[in-house]
Amino acid sequence: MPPTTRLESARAMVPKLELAGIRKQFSFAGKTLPVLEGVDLSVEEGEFVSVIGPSGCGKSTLLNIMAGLEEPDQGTLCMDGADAAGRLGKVGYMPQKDLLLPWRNVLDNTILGPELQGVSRSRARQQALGLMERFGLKGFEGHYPFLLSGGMRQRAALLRTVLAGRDVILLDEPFGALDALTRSRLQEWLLELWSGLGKTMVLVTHDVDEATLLSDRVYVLTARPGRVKMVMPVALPRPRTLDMVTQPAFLSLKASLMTALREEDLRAQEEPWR
Amino acid sequence: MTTRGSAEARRGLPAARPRRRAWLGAWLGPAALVGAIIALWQGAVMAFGIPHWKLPAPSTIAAELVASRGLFLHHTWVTLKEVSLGFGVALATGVLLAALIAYFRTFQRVAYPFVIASQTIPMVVIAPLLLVWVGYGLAPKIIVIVLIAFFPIVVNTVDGLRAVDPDMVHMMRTLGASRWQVFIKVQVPTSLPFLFSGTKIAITFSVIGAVIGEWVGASAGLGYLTSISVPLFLTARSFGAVLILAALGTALFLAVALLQRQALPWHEAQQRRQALEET
Repeated sequence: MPPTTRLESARAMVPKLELAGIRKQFSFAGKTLPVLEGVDLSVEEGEFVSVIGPSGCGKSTLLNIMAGLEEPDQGTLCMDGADAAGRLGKVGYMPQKDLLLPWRNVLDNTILGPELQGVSRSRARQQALGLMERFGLKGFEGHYPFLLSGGMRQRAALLRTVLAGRDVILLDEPFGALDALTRSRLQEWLLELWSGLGKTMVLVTHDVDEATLLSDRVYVLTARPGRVKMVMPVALPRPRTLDMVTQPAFLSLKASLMTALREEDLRAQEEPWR
Repeated sequence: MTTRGSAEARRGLPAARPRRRAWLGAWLGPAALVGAIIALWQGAVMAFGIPHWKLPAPSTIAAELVASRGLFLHHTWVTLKEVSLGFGVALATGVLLAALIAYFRTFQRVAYPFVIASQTIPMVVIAPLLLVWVGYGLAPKIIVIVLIAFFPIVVNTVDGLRAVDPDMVHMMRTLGASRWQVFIKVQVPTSLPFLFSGTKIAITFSVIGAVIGEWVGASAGLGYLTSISVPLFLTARSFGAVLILAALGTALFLAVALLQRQALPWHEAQQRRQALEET
C-alpha cells in the first residue's frame, strides 16, 4: 500500500468486510456437493447489505463463513483490510432460531456476550437495562424466554447480539419464523434501530420486500452452486418507512430482484442435483 | 436478577391453583386401591385363620410397629445413615465421572467400558468379598450402595451433557465463548433435568443397596432386622421392617422430585406450558 498522509480517508476506502473468490463444498456419503463457487462480496462500514437467493443456494453457508463458524475451501476474507482468520467471536451473529437459554431470564440472556468477555454481571445488566425499552422488552426483563412471543424472543436475541459489541452484525433470516404482521413490524423497527446504532449489517433472507426495504445494496446469489448473479444498489431515500413498499420506485426495484430470483429458482427446480 | 423482575416472572407462569384439585383426584384412586387390598388381606387372614408367623394380618403388623417402635427407630436410623452416606458418595463420583466423560474424549474411551462393566458383576458376588476386604462396619455397605447408585447418575448426566442443541453451541462460539464456557454455561444447565432423573433412580437403588449390604453381614439396620426376624418366625417384625424400607425409598424419591421442582423452576414451568399447549 502506498504511504499516505490522509490516513483517515485511506481507512474509509477499505471495506469493513471483503470476501473474494469464496469456494466451499460439502462432502457426504462419498459425494461432494459444491455450495459456493467463487463468491465476491464487500460491505462498507455502516452499510446494510442483504443476500438473497433461492433456497439451498448457500447463503447461510456464506454467513457462517463470515461469522467464522466455517472456513472456506478457497478464497480470502478480510476485515478492515486485514486477514480475518480469528474472526470467530469477533463478528456479531444472529441465527434464525433465537436460541435463548431457557434457564436464564431475558435480562441474563441478553448479557451473555459481555459476560463471556469477562465484564461483571452487574455492569452488563446496567447496560442491558438501558436498552430494554428500545428493544420493546421493558417490563419483561425477569421473564423466562418461553413466556415471550416469537417477536419478543427475536428482539431479545438481537439485543444479545448487539450487546456483544461487535461492529459487524450478521442476520440469518431473523424474522423467517414469524407471522407476516409481526415480521413487517420488526422490519420497520430494525430500520430505525440500524440507523441509530451505526453498525454494519449483513442480512440473509428470501424475502425480497425485506431485502429491498432495509438494504443499501442487495446481492442476488445463483442457484447452487452459489455465485453472485447481480448486485443491486437500493437508491431509496432514508429514513425509510413501511409504506414505501407500495411506491413505484420500490416496486420497480423489487420487480428486477424478483425476476433475477425467479430465473434462479427455476434453474434450481430443473436441476435439483446440480 | 432484579427482585421485581423475578416476581413478574413468577406471576407470568401458568397458574398453579387448579392443580390442587387434580392432585387430589390423582391420589384418590391409588389410595382407594391400597385400602381395598389391606381390607382384603385383613379379611382373608381372619377368615382362614392364617397363623401370624405365616402371614401376619395388617393389624398385627401395625401393632408390632407400635410395640417395637424403639427397635425399629434404631435400625431405621442405621439404614438411613448408610443410605445418605452411600448416596452422597455415589452422587459426587457419578457427577464427576460424567463431567470427565463428557469433556474429555480420551477419558470417555478409557473409563466408560469400566463404568458399564461394573454393572454386569452381580452384587451378591461382590458383597461377601467386600466383607473379607474391608470388614463388617459401615464401609462395605457404603461401597455396595455406591456401586449400585452411581451408574444411573453417570449415564443420565452424560446423556444430558450431550443433549445440547449444536446451534446453541455455534451461537455461544460467535459470542466468543471458549469450550469451557460452553460447557459451564450451556452443557451443565442442559444436563440438570437429566441429572435429577438419574438421581431419582439412584436414591431408590441406594435403599436396595443398603439392604443387600446388611443381608451379607451386619449387626444393625432394617435389612439386618428382616434377615434375623424371618428365621425366628417374627414375620410381623420382618413385614414392618420392609414397610419402613418402602416408605423410606418413596420419601427419598419424593424429596428429590421436590428439590428438582425448587431448583429448576424454568424446566418445570416449561414442561407445564408444553403440556398445556398440547391439550
